[in-house]
Amino acid sequence: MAADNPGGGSSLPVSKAFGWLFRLLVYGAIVFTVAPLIAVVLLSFRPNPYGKAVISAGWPSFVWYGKLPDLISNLGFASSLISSLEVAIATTVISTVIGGLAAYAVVQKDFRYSSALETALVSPLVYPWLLMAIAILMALNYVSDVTGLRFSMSIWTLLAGHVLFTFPYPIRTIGAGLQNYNEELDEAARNLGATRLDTVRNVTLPLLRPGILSGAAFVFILSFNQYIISLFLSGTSIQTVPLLMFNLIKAQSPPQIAVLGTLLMAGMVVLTVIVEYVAGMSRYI
Amino acid sequence: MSQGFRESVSERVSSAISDHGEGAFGRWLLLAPALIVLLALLYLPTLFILRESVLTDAGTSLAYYGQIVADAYYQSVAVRTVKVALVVTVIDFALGFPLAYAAVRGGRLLGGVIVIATLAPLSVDLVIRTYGWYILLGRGGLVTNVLVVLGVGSQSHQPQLLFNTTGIIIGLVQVLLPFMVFPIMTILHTIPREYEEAARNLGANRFGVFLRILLPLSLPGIAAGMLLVFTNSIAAYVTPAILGGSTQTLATKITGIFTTSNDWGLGSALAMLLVVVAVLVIVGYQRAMENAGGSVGGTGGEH
Repeated sequence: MAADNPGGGSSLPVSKAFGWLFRLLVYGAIVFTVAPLIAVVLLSFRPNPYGKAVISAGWPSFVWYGKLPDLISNLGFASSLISSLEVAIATTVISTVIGGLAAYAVVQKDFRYSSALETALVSPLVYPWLLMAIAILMALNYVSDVTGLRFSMSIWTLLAGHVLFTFPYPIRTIGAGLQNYNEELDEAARNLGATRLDTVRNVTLPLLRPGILSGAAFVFILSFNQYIISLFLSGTSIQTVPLLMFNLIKAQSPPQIAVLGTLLMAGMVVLTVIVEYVAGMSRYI
Repeated sequence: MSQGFRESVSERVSSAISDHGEGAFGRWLLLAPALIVLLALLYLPTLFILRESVLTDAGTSLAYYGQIVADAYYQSVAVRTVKVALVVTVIDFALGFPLAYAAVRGGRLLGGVIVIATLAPLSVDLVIRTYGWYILLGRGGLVTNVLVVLGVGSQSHQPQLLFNTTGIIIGLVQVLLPFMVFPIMTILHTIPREYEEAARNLGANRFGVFLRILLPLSLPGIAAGMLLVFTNSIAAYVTPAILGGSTQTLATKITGIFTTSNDWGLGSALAMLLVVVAVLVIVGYQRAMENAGGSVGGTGGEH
């Protein structure tokens, strides 16, 4: 492999040492990034509920997976899952539409202000989530002060926060699709007698589908996993999955957390693999 | 709704887009939802953080800021937060650059493994990922046991890797590594392999190629990656909250103030410190992306 031998035939000690350091860093970093995920999966098969060893006597055991139905009903996991799915699906629809429309405007070549506009549109990607949550909280606080009405946290404040931090992702993916889009295909369809609606439905949307699907998948995953914005904006009635998992960490035994974590991980991996296969999601990173 | 009605509505919407989408008015119309979200949920609300931070019982004053500056505790939290962010940024660069280089130049298999290894964790709930470290780094955990075997500390005096800055740094380095790797990967793709070959033919060793060719040419990507890692590290909540224990950072302190007390003025003043950092980073990031020839968007955050 070229990367293993960037020095070619050089046999200088500096070069050799640098090559070894390079390999150590690369393989070390790969192990490092997957270590906590593997630890959680391995831990979910540990029968012993106590301690922090990843593997103990009797491993692997499916005893905690057997107790999963009890675990789900006792811990309120089912209702959290429903809340999270509701919020994530609604966010996905809203953010993909908002982002898609904006993408269409931004890619026009002769558009003035496009540099300043881009900075503005991508600013939620760089702006810390914690600050978005506090900002929305303070805005509500101000509106309450001025109008005398009391606003409490609800699904609407939660959705507002989730849309804010996710809508730039579809701009990126759909914008990439639009930049490579050949408008002559639309014209060809129209010349062959297709109505505008037919053209949009049968030509434009299918060609843009990878970008739309990838953007929607990014939004769904980010919204489903969001913690800090949900902590500030969900109020007391809604507990999303990340909020629940955070609270369970200190209350439940390690393998129980690990079983739930492994299942959530599996769900996300399946979703990612499907979207990657259908739409080539990783191209848009 | 009847099929005919729906079709006529769709027809009107799509013809409106194609008639006006090219004109300036149509473009602003398409941008309107996004701009309204930005203005109503981000820009104006950020001003309300500022308002809350200067609104005291004695009218408008900088009393909360004075309180923060005078308090040795807040000073120590702020210093710790910045130190952690700097250390995390440096380590992520040391790990992220070789990873990005190996992903771009290292052949299909290694490249694929690296992309999956950096991408896959991003789709997993941050709480679960951090929990993995909580298990590995704790007393009797795998990492501590390995360190004891290697002679660091002893069974009765295990090295303390959890509930302190060490734990926070380890967790953040892993969580934020993708945000260093992806911008650098993007820019390394634009550097022709021939440059490195030419330098080697002229007698440069591997370190020389890195220092004289790769490093200068990939600076915009490195800058973007460092800015993302630094700002996300400063504002991260979940990882320090789980791995730091009682060791506080600005983000955990601010969240604590907002969720357990009514001292919103103080919390807002602390939050404004982060706002200043974030705004500087957004400007710098955009500069870096322009230098890198980046188009729409950028890589996102992870807190």
